[in-house]
Amino acid sequence: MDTSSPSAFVNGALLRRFIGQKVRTVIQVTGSEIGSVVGKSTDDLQIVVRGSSPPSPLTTYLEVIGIAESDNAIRAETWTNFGNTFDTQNYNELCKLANGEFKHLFI
Amino acid sequence: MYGGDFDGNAAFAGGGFMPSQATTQAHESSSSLKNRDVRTLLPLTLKQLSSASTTGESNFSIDGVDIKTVVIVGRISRMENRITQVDFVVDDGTGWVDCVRWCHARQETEEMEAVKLGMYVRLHGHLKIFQGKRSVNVFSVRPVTDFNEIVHHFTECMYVHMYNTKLRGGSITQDTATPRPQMPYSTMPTPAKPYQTGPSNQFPNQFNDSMHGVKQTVLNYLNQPMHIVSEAGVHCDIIARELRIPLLQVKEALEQLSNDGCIYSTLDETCFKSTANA
Repeated sequence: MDTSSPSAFVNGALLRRFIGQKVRTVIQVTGSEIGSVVGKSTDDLQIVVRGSSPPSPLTTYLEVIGIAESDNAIRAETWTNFGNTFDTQNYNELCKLANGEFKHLFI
Repeated sequence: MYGGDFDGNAAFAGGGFMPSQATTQAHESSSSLKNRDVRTLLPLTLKQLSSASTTGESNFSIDGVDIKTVVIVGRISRMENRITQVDFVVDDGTGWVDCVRWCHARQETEEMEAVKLGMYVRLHGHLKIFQGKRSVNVFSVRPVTDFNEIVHHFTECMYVHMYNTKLRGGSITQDTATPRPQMPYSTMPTPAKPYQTGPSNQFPNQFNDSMHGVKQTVLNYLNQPMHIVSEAGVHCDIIARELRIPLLQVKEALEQLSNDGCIYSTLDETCFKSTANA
């Protein structure tokens, strides 16, 4: 068991706190090209995800685990389709709590 | 005789390899009821699991509660099928842990066949420690199909942590006056032992007790059974009038209680209801 390299739950606004570190987020896919996917974060900011082999086909919601490259870009290591129905508001609140009051349970 | 209480110990003691058997039987001599109380089912993050304190090979505790069965939701990041077991690693974003699922019966093998590398799963198991290394002996693995379950799991981890540290912690002082086993939070509360805090602090005769602050007084008021069953909650004006506390103070207390997760607003931001169970 190891907890030395967690991936923090982030929304668009929290991404900038973790530049260079491992993060996880869920985006609503708005477009994709070869090697990158563009989407809307759970707090309505645009996020660009780069990296090889995103799943195909993509569902509406996509979870990305990877390294935060900038305040709006992630280099993906793992992609997971989260389906076409997902409560983004709940996820957004989870991101805030997991980096706030309950941070010690997560990172 | 059939139809009686299900006794997990009796059922499991019948056969098979149950490493915790010896310890549970040792406890049983004192009181089987007590034994049942400590059989917890705790949703935990792996960060919490790694920080759980231990006194021996399989005795762990966190937030003052003994850990028996744990619930973890995470992604399978490594997997290896062996003849009698499946070894895998689960990563929930807060950390990773080695897991083993022994497969003897066909049902167990079939359950594991549905689980693939990269999948999100919800698993139930026992935390083990061997040569200082923690791992989970898993007895149920289910693929996550609705991904809201992940959010729900972590929300529940936070709730249970708060329940066991703050709410339950608050009632310990009362227990010293009238000692009785305190039911730790479990995701399967039985109707006979609801997991709300001690009922003795919920009645109006304590309203003017100077020991309680405004917050406690307001919470006691909202914890009255008649208010717990009301769907709409209670308007802050009514609380202020009934308790003869200035509205401003009541509002401040309500806000704090709401932030603490003890109450929530119902129809609008003026009506409140306790989060305690009806």
